[in-house]
Amino acid sequence: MDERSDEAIAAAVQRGDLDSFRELVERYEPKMTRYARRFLFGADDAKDLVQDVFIKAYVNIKSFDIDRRFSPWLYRIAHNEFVNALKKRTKERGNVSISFFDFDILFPHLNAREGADSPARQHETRVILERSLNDIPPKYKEPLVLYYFEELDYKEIADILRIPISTVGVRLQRGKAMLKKKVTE
Amino acid sequence: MEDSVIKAIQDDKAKMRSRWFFALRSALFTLVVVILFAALLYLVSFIIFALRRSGIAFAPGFGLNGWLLFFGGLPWGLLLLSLIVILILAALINRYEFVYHHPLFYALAAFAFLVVVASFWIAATSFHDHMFRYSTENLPLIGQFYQFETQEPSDVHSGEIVAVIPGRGGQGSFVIVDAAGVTSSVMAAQGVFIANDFSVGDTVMVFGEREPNGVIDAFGVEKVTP
Repeated sequence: MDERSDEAIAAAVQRGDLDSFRELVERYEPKMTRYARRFLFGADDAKDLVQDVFIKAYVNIKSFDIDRRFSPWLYRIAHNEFVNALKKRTKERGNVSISFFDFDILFPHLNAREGADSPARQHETRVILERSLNDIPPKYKEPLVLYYFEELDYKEIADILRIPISTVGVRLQRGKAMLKKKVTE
Repeated sequence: MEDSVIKAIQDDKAKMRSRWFFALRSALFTLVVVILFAALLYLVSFIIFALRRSGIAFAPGFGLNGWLLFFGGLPWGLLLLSLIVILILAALINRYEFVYHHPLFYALAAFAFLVVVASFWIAATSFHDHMFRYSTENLPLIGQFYQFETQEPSDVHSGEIVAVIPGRGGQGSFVIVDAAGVTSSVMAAQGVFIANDFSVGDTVMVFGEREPNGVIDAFGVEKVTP
């Protein structure tokens, strides 16, 4: 039997089917936890945050347009939740506040189109990322996590972060350049 | 994880919002954007109207002195307010895919172009003239605002020509009477040529310093429609 699509399950949840929502949570829990752990660097509260993401998704499920893909919609909720957690944590620790705004969202970039890395190169980048992810500012870390670990494309990442598609490419390039520098140091 | 999430929902700790909630929120959002956009059009068209009315808009045509007068007379407070409204609007509409998928510069440039074109069109109508007259008579606070923002700077003098005195080499000088009945003689400042193509009855804006003896050393004259 064919597996139901995320969008079909979300439509069932919108009609009040709670079991379908359980199915969505089961499907996305590993992804969301992985995303939280990598983006927030193994935060102790990652599980609580992911739970909040699912509760927010349930509360707002009727705002989801079933003609669109479910996964970027859920990742968008997770992004907001994690960024807020990161800001709160930074404030509590008295650190300089983090900024997700960048002038690179203002102007067009010609050399920031989606490229196809070879599987070997992708694997190599992933290995380096696992080791050095914490050394990269969140603004660059998040697109790297979404692209290399969550395997989302530029458009989906742009939809989650609400930034231009070309900016996704720029941030990935800069993030990778930072990683390269760290590795050669 | 699934169990705790489902339990929170079953315990009524999380309630699904209705479609009405999102429809209402979306309508409210659209209303805020429309109101802000209308306010922005009003503001920018008012700035254009005020610059024309005070004569500052014509000043750049008269060289460096004109440009200095222009920049000194710009309503910087209103321009800053317009910029803030533009940025707020840009931030608000950045939730739409067709906006955030492209560099923000494109959205801002398109938006600024649209606002400026629409504002010039509004400023060309009699809308602000009517508002000026109506508010002066009925809405004292807004009337004062209109009067304050449209008043002429000290180096701009408008009035009707009551006498023309032809000078040498085609150079013209004349006498004007302003709305308050004050008479001034207009003479070209040193190094400035004012063509002798004015007639009695013309309404003009004269740019230049007015001496205590009632002579204006003009560095520019603009004929305006009365």
